Amino acid sequence: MAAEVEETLKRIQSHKGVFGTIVVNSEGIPIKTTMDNTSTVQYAGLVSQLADKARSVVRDLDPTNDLTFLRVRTKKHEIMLAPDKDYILIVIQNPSD
Amino acid sequence: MFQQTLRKLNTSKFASKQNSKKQQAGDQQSAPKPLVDPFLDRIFLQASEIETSAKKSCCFSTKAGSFEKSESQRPSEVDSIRLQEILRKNHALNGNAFGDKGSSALEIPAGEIITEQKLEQEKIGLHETETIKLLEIQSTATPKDLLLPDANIESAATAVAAEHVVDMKSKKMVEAKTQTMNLQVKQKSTMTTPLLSRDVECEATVWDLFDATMDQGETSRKEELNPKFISLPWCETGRRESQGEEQKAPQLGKSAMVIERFLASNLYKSQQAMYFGQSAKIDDKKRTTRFQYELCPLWTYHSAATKNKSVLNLAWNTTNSNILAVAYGQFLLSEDKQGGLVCCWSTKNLTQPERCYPFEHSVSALAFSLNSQLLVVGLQDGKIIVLDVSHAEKKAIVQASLKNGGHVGPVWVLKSVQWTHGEAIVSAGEDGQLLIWSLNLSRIGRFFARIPISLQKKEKVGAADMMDEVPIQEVFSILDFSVSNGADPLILVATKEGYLLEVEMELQIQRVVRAHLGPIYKVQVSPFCWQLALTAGADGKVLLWARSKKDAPILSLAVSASAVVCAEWSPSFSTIVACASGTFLSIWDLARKTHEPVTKVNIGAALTSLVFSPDGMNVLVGDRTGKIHVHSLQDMPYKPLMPVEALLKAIPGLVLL
Repeated sequence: MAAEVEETLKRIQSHKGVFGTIVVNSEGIPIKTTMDNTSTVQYAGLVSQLADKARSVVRDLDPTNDLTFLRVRTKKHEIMLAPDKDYILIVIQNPSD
Repeated sequence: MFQQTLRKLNTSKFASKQNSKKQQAGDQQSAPKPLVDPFLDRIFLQASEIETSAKKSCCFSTKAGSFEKSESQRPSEVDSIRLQEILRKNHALNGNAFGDKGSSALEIPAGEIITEQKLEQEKIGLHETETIKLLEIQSTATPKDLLLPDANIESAATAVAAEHVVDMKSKKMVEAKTQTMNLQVKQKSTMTTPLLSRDVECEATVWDLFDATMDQGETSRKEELNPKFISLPWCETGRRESQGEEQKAPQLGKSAMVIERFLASNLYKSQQAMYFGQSAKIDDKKRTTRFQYELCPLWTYHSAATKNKSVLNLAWNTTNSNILAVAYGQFLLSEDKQGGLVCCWSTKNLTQPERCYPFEHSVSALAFSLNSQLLVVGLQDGKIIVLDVSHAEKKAIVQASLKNGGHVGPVWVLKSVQWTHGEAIVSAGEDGQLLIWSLNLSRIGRFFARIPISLQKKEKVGAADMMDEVPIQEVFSILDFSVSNGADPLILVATKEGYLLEVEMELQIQRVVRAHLGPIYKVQVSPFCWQLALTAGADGKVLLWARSKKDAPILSLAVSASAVVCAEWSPSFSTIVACASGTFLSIWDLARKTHEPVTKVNIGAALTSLVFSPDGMNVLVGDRTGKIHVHSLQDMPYKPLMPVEALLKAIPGLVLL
């Protein structure tokens, strides 16, 4: 990977409150992760489906539109995903407030 | 011959010479050979079915049964006896094939000679004969179920047929169709490895179709055809992915950057809300508003890269008010040269600068051009560099140094102004030059802060008697300048020697005023009133100057004992001034009181520069440790409806020309 992207991902991982970063490729296989294997696989599978569904919602409403980011705020933490044609970047953060 | 027979029968006229002739012909053909041809016999007899069983029917034109009438020359006479004989003969020879002996349709009484008249008298009747098989070819095909070895197969033909059926799959049998090209096809099979198959699902939604129409002819279609299906799942997915990753790395980088912003904003949500003025602190005690002018500390911009450097300059982006460019370097010229840095911070990402450009020298001045992509940077060695901020790597577009007529010493101030034809960059430095450049850094104009002695003597103000005694021309270093645009435009130049120069637009010095006892660090014309300007000097004072009063300031703010490094008018509040001196940040409201600030905050580190946020509700100060502190102004009074009137009211000595 490009060095700059690597650095940015490293910074994200070491950001305050972040407890996981996963990069999933277009086929749903996680290629980079900082979490344990089971959680990674679980997140990768479920989140890919969610991203696809969200994207289909957005595009069915208006085909010229497209999904850029998706943030899911839960009671315990927040899941942020940046879906793209070739990859999905997933970050799970526990905001301290 | 059969045809001929039919024709003859249909005419049903016996007395014709043609008939007789044909009879004769038939006779001649068959007379020598009275062979029995079963085939022809049958035809003959069948003909007799069709025809009327005319007794006279001399129409039997088969060879065998052809009437050998020969003897009688009379055309219409037939020897009936003779005919019957023949028929019987045929019967006897052919046996069963004929069927019954009563097959002859002809009933001719023996010995009677049939004449035409007799025929007419007689009634002619039609009888149907028995079905006589003329031709029978036994079928040699047997039904499949009969393929039992012990089946009763009677004829030899069927036995052979059975053999053939068994052999059907052999190459002896070929299925052929008529009227088509019969290509001889042979089927052969070989051994192969088992073919891999994989089930793939595909869904075509409305937007897939939309994408397809948009991407016609574009390269993205090639990416679609990329071997996602061709590549086998077990071979080196890692390698393929790593190649693909490099291609999509810029996209990934962008997403990562935005996610970083999300993360940061999650942590600093309330602070950001306050910065953008979104937190409505609705107080119950609003009725008794006291307007405390609170300075709430929000956050600090700092990172590892900026640790040992001082913040020298701050500049907001001209179009995107969320981007702040910060110049880092050494504050004191005596400090160790560690190099300089330009960072672009965003209000959305509070933990990491979005851009970082290192330089070999300390960066002392910077300004965004009016087209906000370009950032003009002035270094301590006199170089001026134009950068493109849209790239993460340092990309210097143009560069100006001493060779192309640049500065000798450090460049202290850079400003982007609207010039006669387009945009111009004005730079001022230690060497006393004020240079005007076009955007591609070709010099347009030049001003030299060289003050002739005569002017000094005439216009000298204050207690600087020493100036009289030095009979030389002096060049003053320019620390700051400000353009006052109005009916009578002027450029106010702040010098290191404490003089405030008024320069006309043709770059001629109009007046020299002794402003401060030490260097004037900042001069700024009020954004609301072009006749009013403030200067901040090393003597700890902030002076307000008006056009109406030539030689003296109209107001003096005693900020502190130490030098006022920076002061700025609020862009939204006409009477508010922010000053940074020592470690204190103070806010002055001229409408309230001028003897002391309305708020004062101790930052903790020695301050170097100050800037208001574009909406005027926040103040950013940079210090000598490389940090930028962001404070929000809360509990402020309402903005004056008429700013100039407010100023006039606040400053008693102010008279507008």
